[in-house]
Amino acid sequence: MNQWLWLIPGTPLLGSLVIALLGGLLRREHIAVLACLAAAAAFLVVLLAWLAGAASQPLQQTLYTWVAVGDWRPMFGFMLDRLALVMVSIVSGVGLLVHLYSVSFMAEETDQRRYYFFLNLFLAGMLLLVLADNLLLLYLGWELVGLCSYALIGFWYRDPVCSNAGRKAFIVTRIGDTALALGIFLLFSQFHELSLSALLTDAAAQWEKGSALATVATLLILGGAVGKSAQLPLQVWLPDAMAGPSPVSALMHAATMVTAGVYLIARTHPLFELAPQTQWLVAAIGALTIVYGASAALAQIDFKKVLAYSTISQIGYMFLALGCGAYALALFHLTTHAFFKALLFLSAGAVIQASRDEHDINKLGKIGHHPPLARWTFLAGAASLAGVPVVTAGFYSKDAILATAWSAPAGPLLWTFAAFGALLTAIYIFRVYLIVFHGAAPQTSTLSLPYPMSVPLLILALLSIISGFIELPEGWPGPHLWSPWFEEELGLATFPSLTITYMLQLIAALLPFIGMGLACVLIRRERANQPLPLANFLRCGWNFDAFYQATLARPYYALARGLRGIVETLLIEGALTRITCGLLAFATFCRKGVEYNVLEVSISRLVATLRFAYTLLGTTQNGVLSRYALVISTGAVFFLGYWLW
Amino acid sequence: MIPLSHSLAIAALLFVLGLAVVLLRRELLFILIGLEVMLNGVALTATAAGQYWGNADGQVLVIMLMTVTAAEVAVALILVWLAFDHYRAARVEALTQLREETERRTS
Amino acid sequence: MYEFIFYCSSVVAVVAAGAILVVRQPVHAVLYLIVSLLALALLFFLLGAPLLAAFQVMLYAGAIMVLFLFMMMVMNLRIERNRSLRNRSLLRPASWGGIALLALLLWLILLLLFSRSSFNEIDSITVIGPTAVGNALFGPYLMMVEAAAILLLAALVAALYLSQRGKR
Repeated sequence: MNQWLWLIPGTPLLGSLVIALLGGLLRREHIAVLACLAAAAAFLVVLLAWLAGAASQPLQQTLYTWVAVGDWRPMFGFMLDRLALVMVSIVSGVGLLVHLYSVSFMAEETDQRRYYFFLNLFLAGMLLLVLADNLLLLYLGWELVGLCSYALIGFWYRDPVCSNAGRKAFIVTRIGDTALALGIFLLFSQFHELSLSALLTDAAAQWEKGSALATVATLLILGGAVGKSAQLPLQVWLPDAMAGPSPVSALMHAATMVTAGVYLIARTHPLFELAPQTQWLVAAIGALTIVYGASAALAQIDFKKVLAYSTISQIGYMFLALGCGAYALALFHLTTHAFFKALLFLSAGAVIQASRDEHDINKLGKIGHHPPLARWTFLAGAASLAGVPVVTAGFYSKDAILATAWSAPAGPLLWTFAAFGALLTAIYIFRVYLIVFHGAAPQTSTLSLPYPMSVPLLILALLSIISGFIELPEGWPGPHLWSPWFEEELGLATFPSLTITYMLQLIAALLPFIGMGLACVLIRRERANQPLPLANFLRCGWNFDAFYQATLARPYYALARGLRGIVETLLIEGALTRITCGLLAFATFCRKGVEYNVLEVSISRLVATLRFAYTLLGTTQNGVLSRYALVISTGAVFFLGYWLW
Repeated sequence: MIPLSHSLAIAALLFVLGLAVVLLRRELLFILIGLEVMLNGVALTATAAGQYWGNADGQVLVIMLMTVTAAEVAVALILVWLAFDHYRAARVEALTQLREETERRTS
Repeated sequence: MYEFIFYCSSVVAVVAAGAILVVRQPVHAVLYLIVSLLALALLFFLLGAPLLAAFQVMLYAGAIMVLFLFMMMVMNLRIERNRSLRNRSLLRPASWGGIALLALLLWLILLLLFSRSSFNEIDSITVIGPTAVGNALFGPYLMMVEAAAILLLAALVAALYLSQRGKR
């Protein structure tokens, strides 16, 4: 199995290459099928890896030496340990479902070749990122993902909103990417090694706990993760990223893009454990982001933006778990979140497409006529997101994170944030559900979805209900498969004492129901035209955009304008104009000098000389025979005289 | 006995006089006559030298010279006559058709 | 006596040649030329070349001079008409002084050239008769005779052609 690892990112890459290079020869439907096959092949290889025992024994493959600089030889190598295995399974599985969904969702689209090229490349980039066994290769996948997200968010690039959203996503994540690159440079300068396993061992051996270098390095890596995973303060790109097609949003939010940051921190967790301050910062960022995302989602009227803020908030839970040292739980939530968020996006996409691209939830509610399947699957996803106890996967993963947050430093504070966020989550998701699906219009639609759309929805709905059962909460009888399985790699999460845990679980179980009730109240107030206080503030995402605009963009523009003014007046006006004038004058002078003095005079002199010589010679050619004879005899006389001498 | 140098001096004198005729006189006939005189000077030189050395080469050369002269005179006289006939010119000043007509520019 | 005749005839030849310079009538010039040629023929004879002397009389004085006179006869009347213009330049020394000087210079140079090589004085005249000349002509110089024949032929053709043109 080891030598087949490259197929996991390789097949989507191959698919994208074929689509890009030979797509012109294929029909649109065939391109879609090809892309799906590539994703399916990747998923199949992952399944084979499971069967081959990757779950117990990490797989490794080194393809070739990527670069050879001196004694430093980063390899093009893959490593499939349990963390990577879970990630790869989620990415390829959800990716496959999204590809399938796209087949009918994007059927009307004319530019399928570009879409599937980037979709496959997106998948390949994420798989590469996850499988990479060194930071350099990881960074390659990281950038590939960023590029593809830019291209896919701005897929409908003729719409300036979409292309701007793509650009915004690219630029904002670039800040994080730069931080990550600096972090990688720092690590390399310290250890002369980028291979993850060697690097982490070296770091644990050489750095003391809490050392400044470790803090800086982890802060830089955190910067990268924050950018990619849309946490505070770099979260502003994600809500706008809704401009892309719904399957792209589903893929990005569930599987490929925003989870990269979580994966990165989980992957480099030994470093974070060396820097407790940074780790606590991770938890704090997570807790803040939970509340931020959830509160902003409360007031949204765009269907997909609700889900986008919800993603920000849910990734916050993962960060919280990471910050509390519960890496396995973060991954657990990542998994369930991937299922239910993909489900939510795909069903929302189905609803939006059925209503002719209407995004406003109020209008969607008035239209009615939503596909029933979309409605029920959305409900499943919403329940899972809200964490409806016992029956949904979201409850198990979120509850575990809430419980473990209590035992972290400043735990009760973090827990309060997280629990408040959970409450808000329940409110906003049920508000949206109720507005859209229980609006004014009667739900009499019998619209059925085509199989490529309905099958992924059903699978995801199923998964978002049952996937939680592999890890029941602490203290409950039943299977505890997830955390022990990861113990070897990621360690165990710490939980407070059992009594507190039960208390917390009870509160967490109650929160969704409270939230549902509050959502009903909220809707009633909204229908009575009594919107939430601060609704506009929340709707704009706490005015982060305006804030950044005022604090960063405007001063930057002003600086640029000022510099441009300075440069224009000083350099261009002053220097360049003078230089130009001088050069012009010089050129004119040269031209005149050359033309009149050199060319004119010299040529006329030359002509005059030639003419003079010509006339001189011409006089000898006067046709008088006697003169010729005279000249000949004179010459003869002189010749003879010379001879005589 | 006549020294060789005397013969040669006379031959040179003849040659020079013929040349003077060619250069001074402008009538075509006179120029031809001057040429004859010059050729005679040359003939005298060749003869005197040949006699001095005591072999016939000088005389052969003179006979050759006479032949050439005869041919030359025959053709030249006809040409003179033609020039006279065509251009009404008996003097060389009139025969300047080959001359390049150049206007002298003072610029 | 022998030397006396030689110098007398050479003086005649030179004077006749000089006279050509100054005469006005072409006929006179031709007559002076004949005198010069005959004096030269005598010189040839005295130098010991009787064949050449005979040729000189026959070819020059006989054939060539007839051509001259014949031409003169054709052109004579018209030349008479232009008499007023003729030889006016000769009256002015400036027009012939340079040429006379040049001629004198040439003669002096020739004399110097000849006197540079010293010659043995010979006492008697060696007569090289027609037999010797004939042997030389048709012996080693046969090719030259052929060339002369071709030259004469060419001259004949040219003369015929040009006279043809003249008639037209």
